[in-house]
Amino acid sequence: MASAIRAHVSAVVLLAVPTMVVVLLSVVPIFFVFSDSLGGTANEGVGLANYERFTTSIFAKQTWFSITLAALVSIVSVGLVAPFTYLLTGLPKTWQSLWLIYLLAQISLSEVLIAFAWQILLSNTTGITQVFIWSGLMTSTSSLTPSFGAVVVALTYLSVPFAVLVLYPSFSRLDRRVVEAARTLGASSVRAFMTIVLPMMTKPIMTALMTLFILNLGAIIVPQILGRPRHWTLAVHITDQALFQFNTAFASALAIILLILSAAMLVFLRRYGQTASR
Amino acid sequence: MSGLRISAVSKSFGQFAALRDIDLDFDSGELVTFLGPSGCGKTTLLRIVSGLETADTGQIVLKGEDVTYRPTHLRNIGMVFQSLAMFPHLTVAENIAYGLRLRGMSREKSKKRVGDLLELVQLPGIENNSVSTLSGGQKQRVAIARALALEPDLFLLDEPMSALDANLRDDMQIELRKLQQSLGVTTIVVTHDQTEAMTLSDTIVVLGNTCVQQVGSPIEIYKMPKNRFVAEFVGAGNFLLGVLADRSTVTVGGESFRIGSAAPDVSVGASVTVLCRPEELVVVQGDETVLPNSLPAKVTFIRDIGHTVEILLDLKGQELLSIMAPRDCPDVRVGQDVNVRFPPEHCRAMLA
Repeated sequence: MASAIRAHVSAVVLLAVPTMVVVLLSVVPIFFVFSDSLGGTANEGVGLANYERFTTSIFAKQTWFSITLAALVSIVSVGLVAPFTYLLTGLPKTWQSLWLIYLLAQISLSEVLIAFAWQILLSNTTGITQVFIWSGLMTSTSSLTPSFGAVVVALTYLSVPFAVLVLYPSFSRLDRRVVEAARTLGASSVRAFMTIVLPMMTKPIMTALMTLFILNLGAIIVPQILGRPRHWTLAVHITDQALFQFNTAFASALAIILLILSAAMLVFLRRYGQTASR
Repeated sequence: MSGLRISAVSKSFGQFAALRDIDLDFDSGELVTFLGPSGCGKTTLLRIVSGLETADTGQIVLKGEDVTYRPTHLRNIGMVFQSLAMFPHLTVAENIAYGLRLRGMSREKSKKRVGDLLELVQLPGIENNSVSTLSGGQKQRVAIARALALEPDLFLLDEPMSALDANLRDDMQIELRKLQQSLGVTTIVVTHDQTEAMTLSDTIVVLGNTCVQQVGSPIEIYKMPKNRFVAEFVGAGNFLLGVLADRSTVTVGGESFRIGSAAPDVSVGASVTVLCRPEELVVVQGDETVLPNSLPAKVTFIRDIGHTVEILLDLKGQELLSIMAPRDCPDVRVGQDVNVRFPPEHCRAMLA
């Protein structure tokens, strides 16, 4: 009896520490941001004015843009990464490790560096543009950045390593015999991938989509460097409001909206992911 | 008509040779088992036949057509995997109909075919069950139904019974054999279980050390093994070492031993092993007159399990086993000196 109580007490103590950390570092700041968002710029008093401003301004449109951009980038990334990871997990272990090390190295690169690298690659004098002209895809030199395409390409580049990391464990546990069984039943490799591997991997694919969506919803550097102002995401506008327009209250309101959107999307995809994989 | 011909097939994985120069030819409608210890290359050979693995050299001819470089999905084979490899996201019916739907069979027609197949494997009415709810035996049957759905030219099974418990395995072996005979489909079963091979096969291929050791009917393999590897792998045996004096005599420790047969590749004067199966070895009370083809030995253990009596004997440090019917068994005790007789007609000489 006494030992049961002691175990219970120690469990509470053990849980108390991480709970305190979460409360101090996450809940408390969010509360401050939220209370900030209720204030005004010019002594307007406490109220929902900032949220009203959001619904009637360009920011609602830019929020929708952020969502579609994040959705597009995550779908493109997972669409590329799912077949890649399937092929990767079929390679000998040494090759798999080398690929994983290479991809992890990508994550260690600074996002700013990557954005500028793409700016150079897509400029009118170097790299990709020249290749396009040489191959006849383009007739005259013109810069491919800033543009929506440049934003999508760079964000996809940043997302791919994360998608591999999310999908790799599940794909490497996949029973290859099941795919072989499909082959003996008349399915080509591509057919077997589409009809057997993808449906079996619904859950990890949903998780990857969810992770990338949240990650890209907060994209800030790439849209600024490679996009025009109309390609700015909500996160860019938050920075702009807070740092350049000196309107922290409105920036806080936008941040709270972004937070709610992310949470809502998580709940939605979780639900959908579970029913889809059943 | 030849159902399947495998000629000069070799396969290596890096430095490791898995199969060397395999030549086999089977009739259409035959059930063949590849029998051998683990690592002997039997599964690799099956996978080469299926197209899931490609041979380094050699040729696979299926029903007169060279399919050596034809991809698996164009070979018209049905395969049951050791892990059964069911599609976990599909129902029983969807699993079985997978191949049918790929070939563009209509929903209605394939539904009828799935019903017939489930009838055939004695599991009618489970179409809409999820495969994860099935028992081991049921999964086995569904896997068989799925493999047979496309009426394959060749039916391949890789250790199909290994996941089943002993009783179920015995029943499934008989059932599989009956099913195969009624369909008349050329079938290859890979197994390491000699009883399974004996129960199922028209022909057994004993594989060992990357080579074919012997090809023959179950009884041929059991009674007339070509070498000691086959004799030891298929059933238990008592072995005596000696020298072949002529085709019907072996000199064992200076004494002449009469034998019934000698493997064809053994020449006179060669060192040989003489095999006598336990059920043929006769224990005789020691005080009787010494008979020809007998050796003195001491009883070390008696195991009476009702329908048979197993007697373990010590022959100058070598252990012998005799399995006798209770009515033939002499009244012997542990520690008693006896004679063991090797009936000449049941003694076979082969390379040591």
